[in-house]
Amino acid sequence: MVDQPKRPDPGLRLLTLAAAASVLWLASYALATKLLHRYPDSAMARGALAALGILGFVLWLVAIARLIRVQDEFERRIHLIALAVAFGATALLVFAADFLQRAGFVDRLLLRTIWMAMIALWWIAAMVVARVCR
Amino acid sequence: MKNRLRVLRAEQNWSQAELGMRVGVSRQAINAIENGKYDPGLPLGMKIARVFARRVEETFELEEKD
Repeated sequence: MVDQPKRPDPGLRLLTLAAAASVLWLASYALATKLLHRYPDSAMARGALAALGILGFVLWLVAIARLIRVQDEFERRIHLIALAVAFGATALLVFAADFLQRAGFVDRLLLRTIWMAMIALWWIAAMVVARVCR
Repeated sequence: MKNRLRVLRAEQNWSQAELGMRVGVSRQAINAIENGKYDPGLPLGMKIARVFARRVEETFELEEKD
């Protein structure tokens, strides 16, 4: 029997791509955050650093979207439900934080808290939904 | 929606993973369908019926609550 050359698994390839995009995003975020305050007088430098941070996030989003697209309909349904849960929970979080802020119980809500919470809630919800559905 | 996947799979002596491979979904998806946790879309339902050489109505059945 002749050994057939192994073709790379497209799912595994995209998983690697998503992992690389995650590392790239975190690196660009860390770098942009670290350097942003070093150039208070240069709008161009600050703009470029902000663009670097945003570009890293866009690349990560594209990689994750492609990873979800190659999954089967069941896995895609899990992510759809998880995204809906994350959206609702984040909206609730922001709504509650707004009221608590106006009532004087909490300080100003940092914008980065919102996207961090949304991503964390998405993955937590995906794990919970996957467990419930299996 | 009820389905006869477990019975039809047993008749063919296929594992969930093998059936999943034949219709292009994960073992977890087949498990969820068998346990009634997930109703497949029309294309997947038709693919499943086709690999068992059955009609869709012989593989899946609507319940009163559906």
